[in-house]
Amino acid sequence: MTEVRDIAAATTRRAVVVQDVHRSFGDREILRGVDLGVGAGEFVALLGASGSGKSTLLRIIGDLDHGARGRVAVPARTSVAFQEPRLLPWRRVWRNVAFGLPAAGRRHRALAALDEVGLAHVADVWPKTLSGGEAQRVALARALVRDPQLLLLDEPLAALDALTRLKMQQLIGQLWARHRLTAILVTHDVDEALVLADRAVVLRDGRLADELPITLERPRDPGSVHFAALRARLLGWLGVTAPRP
Amino acid sequence: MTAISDTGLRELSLRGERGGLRIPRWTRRVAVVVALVALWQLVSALGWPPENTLSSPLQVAGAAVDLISGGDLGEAMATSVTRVATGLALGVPAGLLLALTSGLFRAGEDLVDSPMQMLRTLPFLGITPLFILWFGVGDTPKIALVVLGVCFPVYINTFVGIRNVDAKLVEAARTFDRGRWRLTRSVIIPGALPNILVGVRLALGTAWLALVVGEQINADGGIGYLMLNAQNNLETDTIVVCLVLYALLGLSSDLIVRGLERLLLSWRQNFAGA
Repeated sequence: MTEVRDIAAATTRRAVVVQDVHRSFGDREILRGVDLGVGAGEFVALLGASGSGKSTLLRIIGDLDHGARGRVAVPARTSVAFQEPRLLPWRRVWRNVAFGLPAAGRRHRALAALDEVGLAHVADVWPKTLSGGEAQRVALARALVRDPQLLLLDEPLAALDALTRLKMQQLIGQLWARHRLTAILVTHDVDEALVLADRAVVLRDGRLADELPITLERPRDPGSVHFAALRARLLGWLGVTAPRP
Repeated sequence: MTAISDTGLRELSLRGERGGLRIPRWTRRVAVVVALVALWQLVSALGWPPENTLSSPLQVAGAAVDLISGGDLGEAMATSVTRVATGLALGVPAGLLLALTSGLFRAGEDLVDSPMQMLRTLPFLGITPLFILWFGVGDTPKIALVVLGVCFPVYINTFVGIRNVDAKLVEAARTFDRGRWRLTRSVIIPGALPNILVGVRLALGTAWLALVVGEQINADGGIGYLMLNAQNNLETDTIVVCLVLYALLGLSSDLIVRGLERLLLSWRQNFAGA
């Protein structure tokens, strides 16, 4: 894989490099030459209208879709959290978290990861007994337990209720900071992007059309004037114009 | 506080918790069986149907006692159970293996599935004459018939089970563990297990059916042999004993699979946690 190493070397301290990626499904070209660099430790939110190809791009970066053209380089350890928890219903919670870990010390590692998401007490139950938010936290623990360098989040909060979603946003922010992860979050939720990300990029017509650095201090206050200004800009790019007061 | 009767509303009749003596459901189930047997005994005692058409329950019970004490029944049962067990031991793994081949690999599906689907439409008992020509009259043709009958339900249900495993689960699991065998063992097979067990249950029913046919066409020991002898001697009581025995054996093999289901699929029912 010398080619891949070359791209990584050319762009120092990059955790993800995407160059000229194209992806078609039948006649429809969803991605038409996407270029994206993500710095080590950076949190990037990937926004776009429905069908803009943001999940497709994430799947390509996550090594789940090999039908694309172009070049992509990622760190050795990458974890994904999906919109659905996707826990194996026939494995106890801790065994789901420990899935794929080497046998030595895996229960200990799984319990530590569950503790981080506040769910050590459900380690021995079946996944079906969990609520939606709990299951999603277990999925997060499963992603974190293998100490990833890159965490890919494919709308992991989209199916949760509003209160749980706010709590999960905080949790993701904390985990990202504590583990010094590089993270890419696909989301529809502009506020979520503004609370969590260092940078928001908008995918439109198969390309990265807009980019917004988010330099607000953390933790961020969705009620602040600056936050509102950024929100209005992002929404404008996504084709939503706020009504004038 | 206003008296509820003054409100002009319709008062609901609340009965409180149901207390007192309740008859357990199993007694009702047993009672039905007992009543039917009693009715049969009554009708037989009245002389209808004639004894050489159908014996009375008491005669059947007597015949059963004779057959058990004479050792005939035990011997026949051992022979039959061994044949079914051997057939299952060969047929179930064969069906599983074929289904794994065609379920996990596209190439396997192309090679295995269409012949299996073609053979499946053939009523397998129709092949009995050929099996007798090929394998003679011993245990082999009977076991072969069981193997053939068992193979298809296991194959079809396992194949469906494998293909119904949620692709999203497989994808997620693959991001965490790329080993193909481990993925098969910990995601695909457990995901297909409910269907596999349905296949095994159907297979057990088919196994006894295949044995009954096999043992009656050319009798060489076993329950079918006992029945064929009884038929030649017009012993309807012995025939009924054999029928009851078949039913009990079928029932107990079904119970075994149900126990297996409860054990292996506890994750589907167990909501006691959290």
